Amino acid sequence: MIRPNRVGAIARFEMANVVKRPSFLLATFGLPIFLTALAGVMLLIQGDFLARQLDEVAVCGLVDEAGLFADPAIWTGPEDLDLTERAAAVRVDDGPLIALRSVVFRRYESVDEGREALAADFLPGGLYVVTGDYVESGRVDVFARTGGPVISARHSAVEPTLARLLRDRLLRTESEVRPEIRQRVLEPMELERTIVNDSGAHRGEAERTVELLLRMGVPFLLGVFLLTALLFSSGYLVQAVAVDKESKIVEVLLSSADPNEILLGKLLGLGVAGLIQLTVWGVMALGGSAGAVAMLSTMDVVFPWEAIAIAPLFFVLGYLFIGSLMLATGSLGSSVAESQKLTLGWAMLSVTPLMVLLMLLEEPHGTLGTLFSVIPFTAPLTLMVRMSVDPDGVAPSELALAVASLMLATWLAIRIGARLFRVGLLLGGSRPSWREILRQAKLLD
Amino acid sequence: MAILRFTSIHKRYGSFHALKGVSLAVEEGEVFGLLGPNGAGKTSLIRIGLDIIRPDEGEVSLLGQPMSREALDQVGYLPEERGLYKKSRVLEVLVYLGRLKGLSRAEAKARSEAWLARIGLSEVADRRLEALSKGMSQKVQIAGTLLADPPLAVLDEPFSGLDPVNVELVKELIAERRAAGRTTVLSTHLMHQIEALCDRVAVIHRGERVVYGDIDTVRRERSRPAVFVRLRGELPELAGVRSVHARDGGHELLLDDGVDPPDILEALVAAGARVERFEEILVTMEQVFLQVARGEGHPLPNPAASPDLGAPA
Repeated sequence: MIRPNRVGAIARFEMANVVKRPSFLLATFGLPIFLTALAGVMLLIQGDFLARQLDEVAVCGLVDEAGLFADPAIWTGPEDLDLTERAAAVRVDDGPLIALRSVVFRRYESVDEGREALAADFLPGGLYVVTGDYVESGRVDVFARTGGPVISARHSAVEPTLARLLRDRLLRTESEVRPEIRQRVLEPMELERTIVNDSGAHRGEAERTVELLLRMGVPFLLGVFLLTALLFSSGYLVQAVAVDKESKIVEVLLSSADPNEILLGKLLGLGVAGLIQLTVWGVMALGGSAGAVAMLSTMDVVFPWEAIAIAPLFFVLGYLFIGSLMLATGSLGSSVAESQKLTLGWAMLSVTPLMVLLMLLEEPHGTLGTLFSVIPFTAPLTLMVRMSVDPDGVAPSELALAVASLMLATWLAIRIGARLFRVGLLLGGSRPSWREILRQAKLLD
Repeated sequence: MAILRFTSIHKRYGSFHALKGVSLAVEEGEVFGLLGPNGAGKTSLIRIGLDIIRPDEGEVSLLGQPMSREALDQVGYLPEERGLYKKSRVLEVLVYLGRLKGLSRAEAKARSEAWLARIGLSEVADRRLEALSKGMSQKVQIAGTLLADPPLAVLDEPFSGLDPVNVELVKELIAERRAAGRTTVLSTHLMHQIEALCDRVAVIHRGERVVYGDIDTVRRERSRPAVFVRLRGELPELAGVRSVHARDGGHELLLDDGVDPPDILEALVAAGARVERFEEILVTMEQVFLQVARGEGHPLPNPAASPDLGAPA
């Protein structure tokens, strides 16, 4: 029989212990400010870098074995380029060039000549060889230097530009193609999107993009929020157990309160501390994004309120379930570091849905989504994703089942966890075998 | 009534059999000494008595009923390996300990303040525990144990880290508890304190109860019949005396088995001896402890062969 006044006394003491710590105050108020400042600086640096990258041109080589670029009129010299293009092109030498959309193709007469230039690092964008049988096979050989950047905004434009050039040259081999057909082949679509919602109202492209971002972003952010909360809680829970062990007050606690009461008291006390922290972060985040919120309210977008509405319930249930497992296993560690390792697995299990987010977004109510909704580890985040993508597809009975499974799992976790917790708290020095621990906890004969 | 009773308790840790069928009872209102060499099984027994760990076999009753949380609220425990939350303040921790024993917040605070005054530490109420000396911290823990005025207190090595003045304070507290009809189980390696404070003792050795009973009986059972006498004049010839050894201006008389010391006093008076001092020689609890720890039988050897045979009763 769990006595509420003991649980309350333990919860109150644990919460006060945590919230009075300077590290808690620093993490609660200092961390968001620090992260915002850091993210701002990083965005500025990266934005500036990307802008400069996009301003530059990609220089690559072209060997035309198919004779598609035989017309001398399409080739030009460095003197006809604008300054930026010339700055990059003059590194090659003064041979013939094609410049299109920040890409400069330098002509080489043979593959050997082109590879020589590639080896001399004159062609950071690579060497493209339009083979002699291109018209029949479509084959283009590409040569690139090793050790280049893994991704490059500048170089990613090379192949679409070459493809456009090739389409243009192919069309020019046919004398009977009408100019508008040529233009459509080169630019097949000019999209004008109109979205019709349930009430028949029309929405534009911007609203659709914002809504898609919200439906994907909200569950992702909630998942990150849940993971952060669990990781922080794991730290507090492990620390609380470590303090009990190090201060050697464990036996006094165990002689005064039932392990169920201690476990629950710690969970609630530290949970409230975590909730205070999350609330402060949430308020600061809302305050910081007030402009975005105001903008959203003027747009005709459907905000995933259902996911936001169920989040607190599933956050609390998820925390109680995972937290009780963390306390039980964390108490078995012989050091804070070992305890932390023992608890991290539970937090990772709870964010499994993030790892299969694409599948859940694609098929929110498929087999995986339905199954994950009743597994206590994955139910909170899965349901937040599903409610965000398509709230109408989640039946109330599914929500009720998820709540029931989480409550049952939490009850079991506390009952079994308390037994391990009793043994774990009394462990000192080297840890006995898992079999002996389970025997002492009366989980094995 | 037995306030705490162990019946055939067994406890194993892996292949190690820590307690082998230990049975004993602590009576209400007494000071009970629980002794034994290191690793004998005392701590396991105490932990079982407080439901901190569970026995593999056997039964425990507390306050005359099967173990329950309600009964455990009536017990204060000062473990041997002890400590408090170092970063917390003294008064906060005492209030917390009181709350854990079921006191209301107001009552726990009032009692904590009263106890701090009783142990002379009112001025440190708002200090963090890490700022206290070892002795002060020890006194705070004793206060925390006795705060709720528990009918049963289990004090494991309560004198460690205390100066003589504070040892006297703790002895006073134990004596006050006995006077108030409260029961105390005392575990310590300071045998003279056991003799001074305890009514009954049990000695645990290698997981078994090897000595159990009231102190005088235990000491008498473990002693050879012997007396110390100092007379004015010569020692007369006495029947039932096996040997005589001079010591401290008097004589130690080792008696034949079955001879009662009062019979010797009677014989001395009958022989016209003028008796200045007459004392029964009993082994000390320290000697009993050493006997047990060394696995020696009893009674003890001849006093002449063992000058530290015993002390006057």
